[in-house]
Amino acid sequence: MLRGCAGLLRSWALRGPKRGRSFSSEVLHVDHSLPNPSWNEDMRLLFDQFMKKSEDGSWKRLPSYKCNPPERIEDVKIFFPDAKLLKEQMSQAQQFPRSLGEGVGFEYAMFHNHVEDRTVCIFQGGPHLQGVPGFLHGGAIATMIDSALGMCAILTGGIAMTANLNINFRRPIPLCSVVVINCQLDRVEGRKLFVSCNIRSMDEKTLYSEATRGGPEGGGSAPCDVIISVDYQDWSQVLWHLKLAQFKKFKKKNANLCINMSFCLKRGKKPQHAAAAVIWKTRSLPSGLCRQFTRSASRLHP
Amino acid sequence: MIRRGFQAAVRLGQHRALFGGPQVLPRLNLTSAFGSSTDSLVSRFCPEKTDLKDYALPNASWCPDMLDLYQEFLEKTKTDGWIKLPSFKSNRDHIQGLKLPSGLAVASDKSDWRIFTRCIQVEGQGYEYVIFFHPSEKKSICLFQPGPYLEGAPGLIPVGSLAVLNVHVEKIEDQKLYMSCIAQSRDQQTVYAKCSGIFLQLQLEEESPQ
Repeated sequence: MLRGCAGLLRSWALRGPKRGRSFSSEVLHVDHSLPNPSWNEDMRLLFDQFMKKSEDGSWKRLPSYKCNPPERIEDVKIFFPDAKLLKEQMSQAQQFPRSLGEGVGFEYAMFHNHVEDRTVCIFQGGPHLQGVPGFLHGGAIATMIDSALGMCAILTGGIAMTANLNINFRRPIPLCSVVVINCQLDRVEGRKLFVSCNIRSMDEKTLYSEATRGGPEGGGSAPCDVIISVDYQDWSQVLWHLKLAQFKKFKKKNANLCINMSFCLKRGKKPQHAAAAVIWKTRSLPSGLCRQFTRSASRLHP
Repeated sequence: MIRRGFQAAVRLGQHRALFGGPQVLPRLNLTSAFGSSTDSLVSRFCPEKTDLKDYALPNASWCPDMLDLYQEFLEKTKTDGWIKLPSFKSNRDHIQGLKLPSGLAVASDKSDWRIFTRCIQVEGQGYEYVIFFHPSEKKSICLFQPGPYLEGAPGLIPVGSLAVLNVHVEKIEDQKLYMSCIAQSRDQQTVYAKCSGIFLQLQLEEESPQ
């Protein structure tokens, strides 16, 4: 009976009362970083330009969903063991920039260049993001900057949260116009990732805003001890095995052990080769453990 | 925890940078136009009797803490000089009869444009907030209850959590307002965010009669 109630609650939460029709769970896994009827000409033009640049593999379009993916939820459970992740709340929650209807809020798509290590976000602010009449709300601009810089940080160092955000608003952004947010990683200091960005018009002639963001990776209080770099063919399999094995084995011994993994594509004869950078964070990591992890990782290589 | 409110310093560019150079604009001195009393300014920008819908009123989604504090401040509006700010669909509704300076005026005003903090219209899912301000002491309090549609990192905003934002005007230099804000829990034991900002006062003009 409880399962039935939970199912009812989930389907009710997934329904959009604003629109008066029900959504299935598939709708929440729709990739919203793709053109839709609300995108104006400028937005489509920019999108096509970046898709063309993605053809040689240097740029990659990043998908974007209404709900946090399960991996992100698992990461939060590791870093915030006290967080009460209530089931009903999780089923209702939506990623903020994707919680508004099509065309009225944040319409954006992000692209990442792994060679130059920078992220670009093309953004069209809709009519429900108004501040001063006719212009984009400062908070909406801050939301978009935080999302873009956050993505840049996550792609570099794994899950991260904002600790500090500085924004200079140079010019007001007209509502329903299209801007380009250029983000880059400036430096890494231990767990802190310093990223910065600027917001420019399409033709790059007008500078609207500049921002810098600092944030510690992980969210826990453990320092970074070791970075191990290994080559794999199938990175997703490796990540899963390593994460599961280490988490189970060491969680009891060291409650603060958390595994933060990121990967980048290596250029070479086979583009699918991935180099997984495994960052181990723990209060006290025995020196022999590094060699052990490296050996177990290479055993997974087919 | 509120994802978007950690330590943030927001600075606006200089007046000249906004308009590309000094301009002579017909300036409307609000104090002389409406009399020097705060009451007349408040009645102009925060009309009580209006057909416009006020979103800063209690609804079913408000948590008990928020309702308590709301009642507490509502009492203070009668005795201690606090004023409850109405919250309309658009900032334009607050400046009826006035218009922005010519550099910022927008030709057409679309009726479907809404203020960002009222973008999520489903009760309890987005920003639920009410602002009380004290004109003579130049401070404000905002009672803010974030909803599940404001999520960043999953699950970190517990349902029914309340943040109290205390805003102070630190100083005023010509048109620049230096302000600071602390976002805390109701019992002030947890500090969520501290921030500061510089806001530029815009010179409004009377709309030409049509």
